[in-house]
Amino acid sequence: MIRLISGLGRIVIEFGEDIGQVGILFFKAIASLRRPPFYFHTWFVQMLEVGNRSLPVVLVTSLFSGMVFALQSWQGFARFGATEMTGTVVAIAITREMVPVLASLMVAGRAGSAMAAEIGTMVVTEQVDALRTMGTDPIEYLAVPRLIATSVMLPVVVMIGDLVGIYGGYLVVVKLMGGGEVTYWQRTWEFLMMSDVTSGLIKAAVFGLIIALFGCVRGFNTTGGAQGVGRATTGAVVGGSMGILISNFFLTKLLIG
Amino acid sequence: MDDDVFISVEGLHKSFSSQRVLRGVDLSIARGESMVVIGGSGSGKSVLIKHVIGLLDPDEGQVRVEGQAVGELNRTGLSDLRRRMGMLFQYAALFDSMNVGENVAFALRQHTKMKDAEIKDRVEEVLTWVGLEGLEEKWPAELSGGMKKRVGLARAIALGPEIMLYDEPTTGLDPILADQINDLIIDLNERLHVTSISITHDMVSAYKIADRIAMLYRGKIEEIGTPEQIQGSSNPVIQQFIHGRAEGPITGR
Repeated sequence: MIRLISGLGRIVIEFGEDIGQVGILFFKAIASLRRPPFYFHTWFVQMLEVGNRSLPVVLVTSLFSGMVFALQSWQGFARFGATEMTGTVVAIAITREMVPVLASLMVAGRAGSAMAAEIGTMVVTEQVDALRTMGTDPIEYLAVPRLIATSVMLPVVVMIGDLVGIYGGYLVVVKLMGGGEVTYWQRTWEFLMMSDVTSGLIKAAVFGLIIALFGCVRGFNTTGGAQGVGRATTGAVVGGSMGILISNFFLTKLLIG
Repeated sequence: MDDDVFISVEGLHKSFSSQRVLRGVDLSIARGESMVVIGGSGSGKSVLIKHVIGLLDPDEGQVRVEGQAVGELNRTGLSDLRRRMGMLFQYAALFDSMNVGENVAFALRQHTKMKDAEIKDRVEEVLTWVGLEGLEEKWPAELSGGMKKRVGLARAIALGPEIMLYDEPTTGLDPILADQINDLIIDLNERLHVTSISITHDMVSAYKIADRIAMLYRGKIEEIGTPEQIQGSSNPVIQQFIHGRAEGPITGR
């Protein structure tokens, strides 16, 4: 029990330290965006990297989330004969909450961990020092492209995930439960508002930024050898995920108004 | 200040948490001189040269290059100074996401307006100089330790530095490869009049490449002199170190 509490305490303390460093990195990155050099080529490479890494897992996550949610809602609505509303509920839940959060958690595991591992390895093999000795700022060269890549690409993959998730709901409602095809699409588009989609995309952009910030902070603070890189990697995933889940509450509050 | 002094280390102190690594290092290096700093593992040699290129900030004291304190330079100043310096890292620190050619071209692409063809020529030139012509397309993971070091050397000199810093240039190489690196270092000093600071515990290398040798011991410079003076020193600490004896004042036995 004591070990459990102390373990929990350690995570909270580490997370608190990370928050401070995340803030510092964020402001340094913003400052560096106000003057050249800009490594546009690296920005582009990182976007492709994040997109490639995330899309497959996000597609699978979204499809099955849509399907499960449709299944559960159908059962619930069946209790008072409102199964035709399933499409509406699926669309709203998918776009506002499920895909942005679940996809971001998956990307934290895929891309955030990779960032921490890459930068961490560069730190322990003195490649980051080598960059600095050659007059190149590691924040501009390594962090900024990753911050931009995740915050631009995450909304893109979430948008695709939204469509796939809604399609997953359709598969369950129409093909599995025998609901009406026309009703499903009608109910979906009739009540889905633009703000449902955009609020999800705004969340995704912020979550993307959080993932990259934790990935870079943990990467730059790597000490020791292979073990240190391992710690940085898990730290980036844990920190990024906690950052997503906690900020999600405040973002939701803010976006609902 | 002496006109001839190019780099001066003045009362440099540096601690990491509770460990006091440097406790007042004083050292001055003349233009064109090859200074070798020797000392045991963990004596703070790397920490010392990392201050020269501004990778670490001193707790106390400073490093001056041409009278200008490195720790007080702003972003641009430090970046300009670093372009005049080249550093060879202990394990070469090649960018493993880039091939050999891209590694060597890195600083040229970042800091010069050279055209692709000119960069290609320059990369070829420095790779030939280190004896690795035609290896532009190889990846760092495909190279041996000695080749990596030579690529690291090629990368460090690509911009034509005035100051070279060598972190254990011969460690981990066989004696013949080590001597090739020594020859390259001497060649660079003689042909291009580069000022250099090397840190090593390889005494063969130290005697060969040094104009002067300084020994770092317990966070301070224990003694400084020409290779002959160091060899003839009566200081028991120096004698134990250069002859690699297990018994003596360093080990307290």
